[in-house]
Formats: sequence, structure tokens, C-alpha cells
Amino acid sequence: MQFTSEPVDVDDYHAAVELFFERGWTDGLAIVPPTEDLVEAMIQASGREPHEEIGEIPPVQGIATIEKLAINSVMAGCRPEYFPIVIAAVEAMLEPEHNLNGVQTTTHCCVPLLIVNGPIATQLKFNASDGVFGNGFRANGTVGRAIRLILWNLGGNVPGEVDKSTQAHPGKWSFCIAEKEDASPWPPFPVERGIETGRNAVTVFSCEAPHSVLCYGTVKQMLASLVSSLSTLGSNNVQAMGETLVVLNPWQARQFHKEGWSKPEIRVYLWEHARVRLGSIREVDALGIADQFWPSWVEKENDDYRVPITERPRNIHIVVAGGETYFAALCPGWGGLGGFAVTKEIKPM
Amino acid sequence: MRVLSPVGERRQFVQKQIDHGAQGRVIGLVNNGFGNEIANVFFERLQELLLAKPQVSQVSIWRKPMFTRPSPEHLIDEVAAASHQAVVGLCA
Repeated sequence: MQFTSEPVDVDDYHAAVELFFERGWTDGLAIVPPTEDLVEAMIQASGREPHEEIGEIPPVQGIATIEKLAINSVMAGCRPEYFPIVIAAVEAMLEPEHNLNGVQTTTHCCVPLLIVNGPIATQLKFNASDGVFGNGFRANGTVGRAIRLILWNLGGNVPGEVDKSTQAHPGKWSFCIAEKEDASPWPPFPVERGIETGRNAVTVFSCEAPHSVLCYGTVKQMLASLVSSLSTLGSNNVQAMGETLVVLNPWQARQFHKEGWSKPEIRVYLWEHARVRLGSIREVDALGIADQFWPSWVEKENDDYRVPITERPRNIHIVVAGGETYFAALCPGWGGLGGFAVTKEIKPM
Repeated sequence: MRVLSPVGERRQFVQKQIDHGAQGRVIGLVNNGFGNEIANVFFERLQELLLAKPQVSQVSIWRKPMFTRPSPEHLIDEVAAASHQAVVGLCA
């Protein structure tokens, strides 16, 4: 296979790792050296040509060829069979509604989260259960890190340079979960978004780190906890709407289902109840941005108007994942500024 | 051991030559930040300062439709057509 990337000869594994640190080609962790044979195996697993261009990674507009994506995926420790997921996730991030340029440069902490669905999630052993946002699973860890290395090496997402994130969050190392489809009573997340049942898909949604919500008991009690946690001043959703993510664990999903609640019904309930008084938002909106994101039907002159956290119920995403305990997780988005969820089918190898 | 560079080629931007001594310059200012009152004050003051220079005949201000997104092509074309030089900046 012919490569166009600059080749560098090094003495051994340790020299290769040190070279990547010296050249600023890694994110602060050691890498798997991307040798020609490993990169070739990665590309062959995708069935794509090395010179194919997926797009340019903003803001420095590094050209994302299949070869470059494969090199970064090898560095992250991906197995070749993970590579089609990486490609689909990059394609999703580059859709205009995701506004990757803004995500890469914002002072907000949002990071593209990958949500993997379909038979591939089980086949490749993605974790969708206990500790789903945590460590311990090669598929989640390395696919998530491949995306981070691509954003680093092709997009220039270096803190203090083009990455202006104020505090960032640990998802900048790796941020990838799977939905626990076999324990969910509802259709998989991508099916709600137009993907055919049984297909493999990946969704990217730029969001904050997961915020734990003690969410247990009756449906009424669980909804009360979620409503309160969703509607807090300081969240970008409260000031600038956009999209947000609710991760219910399978036990919680079953409790809702037993009581006859569908996901759309939960979304509508949360949208109707997770609201903040307009006057209270104005009091803290020192940047004066809230008005830019409120739709015309918001009563802007009425301080007592209750402003929803998103423009419409469908912007509250619900995914089933995690262990079967008392906790749910919320991942607020970036607001109406971008980072919106985009789902792509993972093309078969 | 031979390894491959993970860094990609980058899109090349054309650098325009600027004649700093020319008279009658038309300057475009593009507000790349929050569309709030503080930014308006900042850009209007910058406009005044530039207009006080003898080489500058006109200073126009634009604001991006959404401050977190790249400028749309039509805005870039509009600013380029109306200005000899353009400055993109923000006031935070």
C-alpha cells in the first residue's frame, strides 16, 4: 500500500513514543507507534482507499484522509474492526449542524460524545452497562481516543492554542459510550433519528461531562429529580437552549415503561416542567446572549414566563445505558451554539 | 522501525499583499464575538480611531449571523467586495 504521510525511522518502540511526544503528535499519553503494517491493516478493514478525503478538521483544516484517520486510530490502540466506527463518527462531526469549528474553539467545556448502537456494539464488546462513561473497555476507550487524536493532530485542538475551553473535562481523553439496547424497553436511539432497526450507527453530541442524578423510586419521584437537575442556572441549556442528553439506566427505563411511559412522553414532560423563570435568567445573563436563542414565542417582556431548556421536546435526547442502580446521568449540551447530535450509519466493511 | 506522521496537510490560504501607504482605504471590521452592547461599543470606538487616520476613508462593521460558526460564504464575499482590508476580531 502506498502512503503519502511523512515516514520517520526510529530505533525502537520507546524511541517512537518519545518522538511523538517531542513533535506534539500525542495528547499527553503514550501511543501505539503507527507502523506501516498496522496502518495498512486498519485501512483494509474499512474497505476504503487511503487517499480518500472525508473532509477538513477545523479550525486548522487538516485534511482528513482515510490514511490519516487510520494512523491516529492505530495510535489510540484501536483494533482494525473499530475503524468504520471512527470514520462514521468523523463524518458525523463534520456535518454543519454539529459546528465542529465552534466545538473545537469554544470557551465552554463541551466535547463530542460518541454513542454507539447496533449489533456492532455487542460484537466489538463496547461497554453499555456498569461504569459506561468510565474506563476498562478497549472499544470505548480507544475509539473515543482515536477521535480525540484526530481532533488534536488534524484539527489543532491544543489547549491554550485553538482550544480555548476554560476548564474542559476528562472526556477530552476519550468520550464514547454504547446504548444498552438489549435491556431497553424502547426503540434504540438511532431508530428514533431515522436509522433502520438493526443497523449499526454512531451518534456524536457535544456535551458536558455526565452529571449524576439520584433518580429512584416512583416515576413521579424520578421525574422530579430529573426536572430539578435539568433546570439549573448556569447551564448553557438554560441560557441558550440547544440540546441536552438524559442517560437513564435500564432499571429506570423499565420502570417508566411499566407505567406506560414512552420516550417521547418523557421528553414532553421534561420539556414542560424543566423550566426557569425568565427574570431569573436575565439576572445572571451578563453576556447578554439569552435573547439571541429564544424563539419568538418566548414572552421576552414577561419576567415570570417559564423558559424551557430546549426549543422543542425532541431536543432532549434520551439514551439507555449504565448499571441498574439509583442513578441517571445528564450531559447538558453547548446550548444553541452548536454541537448538535448527528447520527450516521456505520458502513459495513 | 518506520512510523507515519499523524499530522495532515492543511488547506492553504492565499496571502493578499497590502499597500499600507495607499490613500482612501476602505476597512471592514467583522465582529466575531457575542452580539452584545459591550462589543458594539468596542467596534464603534475602533471605527472612530481608524477613521481618524489619514489613509482611511471608510470603515464598515459587520457581525456574523452566529458568533460560534464560521462566516457564511456570502458574508465573506460581501466584506471582500466592499473593503480593501478586513479585520476579524472579538470583544469578550
